[in-house]
Amino acid sequence: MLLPFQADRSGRIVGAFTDGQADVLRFLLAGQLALLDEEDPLGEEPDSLAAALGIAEGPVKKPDNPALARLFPDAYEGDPDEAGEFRRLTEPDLRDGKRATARQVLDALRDYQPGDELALDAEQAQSWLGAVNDIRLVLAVWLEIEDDDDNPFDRIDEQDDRYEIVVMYHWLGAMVEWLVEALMG
Amino acid sequence: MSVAPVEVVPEATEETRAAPVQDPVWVTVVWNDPVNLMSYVTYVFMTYFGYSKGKAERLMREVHNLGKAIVSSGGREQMEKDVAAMHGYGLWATVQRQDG
Repeated sequence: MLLPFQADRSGRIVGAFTDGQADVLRFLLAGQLALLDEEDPLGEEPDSLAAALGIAEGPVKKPDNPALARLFPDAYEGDPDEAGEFRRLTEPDLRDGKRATARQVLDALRDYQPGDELALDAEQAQSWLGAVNDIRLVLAVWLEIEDDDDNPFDRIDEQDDRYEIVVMYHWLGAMVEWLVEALMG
Repeated sequence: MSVAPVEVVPEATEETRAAPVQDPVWVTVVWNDPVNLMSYVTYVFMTYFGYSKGKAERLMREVHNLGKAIVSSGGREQMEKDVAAMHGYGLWATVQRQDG
């Protein structure tokens, strides 16, 4: 079981993973980074002026991938033009921010051995929280969680291919709770 | 699910007609979703907006119980900034013009 992240006396937030948990998290983070490169509004030309400015050239439509659509929802309801313009101006930066937090956590786990103590300052803990929460949002899309009362454990059993995802989803939820509690102290 | 703010439509008196034209007020609306944890939503409202724990929890409950809540209001540019920030945190937020 994951050991809870807790604030210690010096204000650092400490926690540890056991066994394969760091591997699971690395796997999820790598998947998240791959997802964030899909349907990139800056297209295939990372050296373009648009990329340098972080603003897409043409109108940007809502991503087809439902997980991306959840991470980057329409900012204007019922107004595709305004929503597209908002995406053009903001989505590249938002993607970069989400990539950066995922990479930061991945880097912290690069040489991690089971049982090592992870000690995070507040800023690092915020990155962890953001990265873990984003992955949770994506897993929820795959699990089709659409209702407050929907507990996927009630409908997905161990025989189901998605059972592992349900376990990860709950595990990440616990991590979010601990990080929030440690940060709000 | 929805909770529209009570709209007070002033009668067109001499006074209101003479009132200077004000910039329309825009709002940031955060919508309920079944995934973000209540503690996390409260944390985001406290961290990003600098709201007290009490105010952040009240807004979180409004989102959770009523389906949505207005979490900030002001100029359009600021609201777009707030909405982008909410998306950064993984909350589902939209910009709306506050009519009335």
